Amino acid sequence: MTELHAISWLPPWAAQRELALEHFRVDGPRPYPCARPTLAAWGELAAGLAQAQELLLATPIATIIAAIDQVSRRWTDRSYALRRSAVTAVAEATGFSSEAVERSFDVELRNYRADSLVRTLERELGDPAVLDGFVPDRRLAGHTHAIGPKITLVILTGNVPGLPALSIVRALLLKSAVIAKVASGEPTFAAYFARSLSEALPVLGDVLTVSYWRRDETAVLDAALGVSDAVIAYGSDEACASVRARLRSDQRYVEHGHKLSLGLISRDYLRELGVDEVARRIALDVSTFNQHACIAPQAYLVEDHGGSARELAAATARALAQYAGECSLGTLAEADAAALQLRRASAAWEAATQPSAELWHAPGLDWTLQLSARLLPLAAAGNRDLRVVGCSDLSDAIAHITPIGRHLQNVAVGARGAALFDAARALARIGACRISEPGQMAEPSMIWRHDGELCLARLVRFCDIEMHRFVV
Amino acid sequence: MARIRYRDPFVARLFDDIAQLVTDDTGDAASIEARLSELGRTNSPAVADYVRRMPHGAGVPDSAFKVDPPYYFPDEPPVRTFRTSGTTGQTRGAASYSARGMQLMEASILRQARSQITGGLDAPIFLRLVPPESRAPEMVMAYGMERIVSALGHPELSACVIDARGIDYALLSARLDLAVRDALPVVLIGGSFAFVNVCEELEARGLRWSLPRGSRVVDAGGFKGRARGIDVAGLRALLHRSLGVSPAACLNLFGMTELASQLYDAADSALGPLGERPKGRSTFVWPQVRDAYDLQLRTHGSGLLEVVDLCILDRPHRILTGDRGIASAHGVAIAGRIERGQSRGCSLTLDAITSQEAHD
Repeated sequence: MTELHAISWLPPWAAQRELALEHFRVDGPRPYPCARPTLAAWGELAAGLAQAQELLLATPIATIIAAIDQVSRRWTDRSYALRRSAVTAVAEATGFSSEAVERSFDVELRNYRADSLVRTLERELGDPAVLDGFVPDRRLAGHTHAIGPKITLVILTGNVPGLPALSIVRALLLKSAVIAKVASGEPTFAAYFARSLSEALPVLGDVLTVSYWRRDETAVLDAALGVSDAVIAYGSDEACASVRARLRSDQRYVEHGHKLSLGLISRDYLRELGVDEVARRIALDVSTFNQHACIAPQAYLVEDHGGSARELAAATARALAQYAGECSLGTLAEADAAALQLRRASAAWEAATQPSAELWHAPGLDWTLQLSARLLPLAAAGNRDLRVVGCSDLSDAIAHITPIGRHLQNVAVGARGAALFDAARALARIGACRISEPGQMAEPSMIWRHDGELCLARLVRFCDIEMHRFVV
Repeated sequence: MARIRYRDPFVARLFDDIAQLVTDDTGDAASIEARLSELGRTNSPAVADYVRRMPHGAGVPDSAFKVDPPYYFPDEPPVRTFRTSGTTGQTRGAASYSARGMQLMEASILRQARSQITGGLDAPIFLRLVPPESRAPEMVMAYGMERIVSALGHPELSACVIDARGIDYALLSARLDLAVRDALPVVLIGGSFAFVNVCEELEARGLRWSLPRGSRVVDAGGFKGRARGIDVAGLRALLHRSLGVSPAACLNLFGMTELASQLYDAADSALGPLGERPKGRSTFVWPQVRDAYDLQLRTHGSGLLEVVDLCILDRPHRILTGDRGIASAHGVAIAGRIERGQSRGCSLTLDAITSQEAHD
């Protein structure tokens, strides 16, 4: 990766084709060098990507899976050279501590091992070989073949270190070329990941382009959209809506807009695992990705009997402190620090005026925990800032959540048996799309139907052979 | 420690000392502040608890006035309560005053208005883009403007040029015409963005004036959070085009329901990102900036704005306003609100949901 292209990845053939590029620096406190095709050259880029994609189409899915598996193995090795560079770059871009980035990479990048990829394809498409050609389909009494997009535009988010890998891997699994637009908040990881893919299987590097444009550079967005058959977009509801509004009717689209996550703890679960273990699990959920991920809990609602919510909150404060001792938050941007100080001041006032409320926090800004009788309004915004809310029972907890159900994504349910399934059913009906055990919120498998959707199946077109005397 | 009663000599002396300070700057501000702090710790267990929890004596947040707002004198019911406007669905903040508190507030408002607004003018025509007190009895700005106009404005020609339907352009035009005809200076006063709208409407109607010498504009608030981008220079250019008021005759004030006093521009030099001028300090009210990382006071640079207002007798006199402040040798520029929760990528904060749904 040359300094000139620092946050971009251009396929190696781009130089031979003399693709016209513009070189610029990303606006912001760190003016990263970047390159992208000139406005007139997006068609040429698309032609080159399509040519390379023909080779990818001819590559067996098993080979692609093996290459991605190799990349995953490399990235889960903390001594891997590209990972070392990426950790430094991502920590600098996000303010995360190096250890927080390391732990994010550990969690995020082990998802792409072969077994996980195969099971993902099986769950969504049936037989992975369906991507290579026609395969028998018993239910159809015929054969079926899945055709992925020729080029997928991926609009990435920068809130979680390593997360850009997910959309890139999804598109590559469908044998699609990828144009990835990085986020200004963390623009560095994707180019490192692209390089590692290229090293594992050169054709993967040949079908990849990573670059950047500002949100107001709509001409560039339109140029990228114009050459893409499918789009995967992460971002705010407004950002996703603006992409959606520009799509052609023939383009396939998967978006991951704003979501939030919470946890519930039943009295029985607390008794069975013990306060300290439950607290450790909650602290893990909150601290991973510095709570920037949509899957990270902003609040835990706890069945409160005889002060158990306060006891668990106090234990969670200790667990957050212990986690921070091993893995500090990092350095917050001034605006985030100011916002956190205001939230702490509000929580301190509530604790001073409400007997049921309390506030614990690190001497610095590493973590903050508020005990409150109310879930809303809640001004949590990540950076390991959790609210614990006491509830009479799980039904009461779900009643607290119901008004915001349509935004719900990931819910940890600390319960078992009928209580677990009753809560899960109620949560599913109000909007949740993932239920896990406390302590597992930050580790959704790739197999999970992300945001409740079939993220691969929605991007492919199937062709079935049926009702044919020579094909059964 | 026993609660300090409203009629105790402690409070009477404190009131007298603050009044003296406001009247002629004589007195010991540090001693007054120490006694206000003692009053708060003694009369409000919540304040005492809060002070113990917060480092470096940081003030109470504006959010403290939304639920169970503090008031120091249970033995003396408030004579007046002002409330924040609030957005739909959100709890409004409240600030209550005893009779002495109201007297201090009025003294502060008038002292500052004399020195900051009407200096060199004799009973100018005040034209307010703010409703009269009778129509907005809980709005502190309506109250303050009415006091200023009653005490310092032209008794017959001053007017509110806003009614239930919006700006009364006929009345505004008539008064401006009259002021020009009789060479009477005018003070226009209202919210910052109200002036933007009024100037644009005047331009659309083809109306403009060159107001008499001494005329001035006082805008309150700022521009952050507005969909339209405009800055101090932009507003001043509009005012110059529509009213013939020079940029040097424009002044911004900062006030909030939770404060008894206001802050005014102290120097005509751009300090904030939108050209915000530094607000100055007086003996009885001043802005200061707290570091975003450790809440220590800063003499330069940005952080959380805190206002210390010695004219607040009935509740905490140090307020973390929720705004961003930029400290300099000339004062503190107020550079918009601090967003308490900001969504990141696909992660949505509950704060963002709450505010979204309040606007749905």
